Amino acid sequence: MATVGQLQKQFVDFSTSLYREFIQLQKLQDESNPDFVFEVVSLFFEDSEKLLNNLAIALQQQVVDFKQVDAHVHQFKGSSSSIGAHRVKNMCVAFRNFCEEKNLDGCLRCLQQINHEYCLVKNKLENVFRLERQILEAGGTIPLIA
Amino acid sequence: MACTTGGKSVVPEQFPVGLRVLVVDDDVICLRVLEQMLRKCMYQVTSCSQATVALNLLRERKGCFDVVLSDVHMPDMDGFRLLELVGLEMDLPVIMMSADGRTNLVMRGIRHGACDYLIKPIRDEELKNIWQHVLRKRRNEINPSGSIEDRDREKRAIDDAECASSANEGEDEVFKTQKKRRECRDEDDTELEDDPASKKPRVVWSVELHQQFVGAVNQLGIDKAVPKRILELMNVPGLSRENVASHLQKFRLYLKRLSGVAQQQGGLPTYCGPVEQNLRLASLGRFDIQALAASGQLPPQTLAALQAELFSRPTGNLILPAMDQRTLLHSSLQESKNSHVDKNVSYCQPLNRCSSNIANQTSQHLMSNEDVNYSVSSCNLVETNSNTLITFLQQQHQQRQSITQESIHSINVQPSCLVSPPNFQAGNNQNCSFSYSAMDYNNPLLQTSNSSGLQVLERECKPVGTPSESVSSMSSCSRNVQRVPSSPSTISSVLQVPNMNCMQRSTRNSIPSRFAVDEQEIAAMSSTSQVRLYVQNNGSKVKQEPNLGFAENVRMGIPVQQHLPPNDLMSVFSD
Repeated sequence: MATVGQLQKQFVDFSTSLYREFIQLQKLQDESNPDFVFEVVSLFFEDSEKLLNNLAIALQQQVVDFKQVDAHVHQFKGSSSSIGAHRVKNMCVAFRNFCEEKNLDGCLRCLQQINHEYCLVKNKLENVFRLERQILEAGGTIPLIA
Repeated sequence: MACTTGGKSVVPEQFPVGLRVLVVDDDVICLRVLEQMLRKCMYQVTSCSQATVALNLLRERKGCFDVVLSDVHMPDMDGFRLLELVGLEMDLPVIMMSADGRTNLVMRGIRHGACDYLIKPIRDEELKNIWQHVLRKRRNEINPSGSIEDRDREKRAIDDAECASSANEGEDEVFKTQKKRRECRDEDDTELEDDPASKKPRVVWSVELHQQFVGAVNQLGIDKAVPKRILELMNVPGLSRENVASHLQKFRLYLKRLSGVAQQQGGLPTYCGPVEQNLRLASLGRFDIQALAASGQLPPQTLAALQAELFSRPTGNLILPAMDQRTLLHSSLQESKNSHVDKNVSYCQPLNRCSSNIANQTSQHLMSNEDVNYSVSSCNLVETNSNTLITFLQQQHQQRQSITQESIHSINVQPSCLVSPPNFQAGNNQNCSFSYSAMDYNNPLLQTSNSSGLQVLERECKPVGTPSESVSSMSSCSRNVQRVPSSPSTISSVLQVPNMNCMQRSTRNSIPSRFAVDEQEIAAMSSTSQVRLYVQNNGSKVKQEPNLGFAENVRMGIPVQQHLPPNDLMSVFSD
């Protein structure tokens, strides 16, 4: 069983690896919004899964509406960057380029990769929450990340 | 003069705390994050995930918000359109946001009047500073006491903040200085008594006021027009040099943009004669429409209907004030075709698009002719390359004299002679009171796809300060629009109104008779309102202006509409 210190370190590592935005999110959390981060991240999960679904459907159409696909990707880009999922965001950029070129193959490949990156981010975030819980249960305090 | 202490001493430190922000974003995650960030900045936040809801909120609770933050890409309404509408109706500073930070988009945002353009992900430091836009706007618009006082005030605010932080040393002395400054401020600032965040009466550039302004500018000459002299000429009590200065700045920008576009077209011939006259008229017109549109008193539906109506109407009855018209015609007849590009040309230009679209439209939003009273006060012809494009800027002025039939006829001067490009459809203008309407509706080149569509200049028009003001200044317009059937409401619609009339005549043949307007009707109409018409015949080439440039023109308040389907005025803004 990891010590509190170890947990805390892991927590910090995970958090910082999620870039500035996530840390910023944590900073936004306060007494009046104690579950802010959790709330936002949960929203992100919900939204993303819907978006990814829509993207898959859109790309499977006979006649792909690239404008629509682009719109979805754009949204995904915005939300993922809000929570600090940079790799996802970067994939979105590439995805949009393919959309502009109306390159279906490229889009499909991007979609695959985005799915992958999203899973990674989701895992990471879930880890962060798990660690938080564990730290608190172990009687420790959540380290503030500068 | 008693110095109100208590609350005053708190004021500088308080602002921007409590700044009332409306944030609009369809992405719930971004919305939530922004909301929280703004709350952390001690702002009062209202969030909306739909632009239409946001707009309604702004309309219902006018004066309840200080600044709007809006996303660019939204499903129900384009962020830029919301931006324009807010600028027009409520004249609030709008900050655009987007994950898309491409230069052209940012440029578009700025052109549409955004105070700022933030690229997502947005840092909280960026949000901390949005109050500057509110303060800046207020400073530019409201201050009648003079820039010096304003600067002093700002200085005091900054100094106060500094003093507050360095409270240790010489506190008493510092406080005394502060207090003294505040007292001075209280004495001087009649307008800015309270914290800058509170609403203050704004200078409303109404139709008449703008008319006076342009009159003064013309009298002085656009190059020589300085705010001080303009102010003197205008002789409007309560108007400050700063108000005039900022208005002049905008006006100049407008002119520059228009002439810039005109030059793009290349060697547009114009008629030099009553250049200034035209200039005045054109500018007046635009601002009038703007003022009209900007007045929040005019219900969007009315405006939209007005717009629709104008667009659907065939061109035609242009009534020019006899003097202007004759003078213009005369001079135009005499001028060589390739005189010089002048601003008038550029004014009219964007309307080219309008005319072609109007011809193509079969709008069902008709106002009876009596409702829309327009008279053309001057026209300027510039030839296009292979076709004649007529653009006009129609405006509405209450003070204009009604045009007699005589003047109408007098306009009917050899249109085909004046405009001799091959496709001139002079034949269309049988009874045409304004025979310059040589619009080549069939010209495919005219059908530029302008995705920016109708854009309303939001900067020039300030919302009306009080209902009564707007009513009085817009009364004739309001009367006119009252019978307009409701249509998709876009403020921009009102801008298209003038074009409609112009179009009427020349498209007589192509547009169903119900659109046609008789000369008698025109004469009758002119009694309540007038329209100044600039007819421009872009000589050298029919040029598809790039959307951006075009949008610029349109932004100037010249309504342009491309292929507007009858009931879908909103589509003009679709991206």
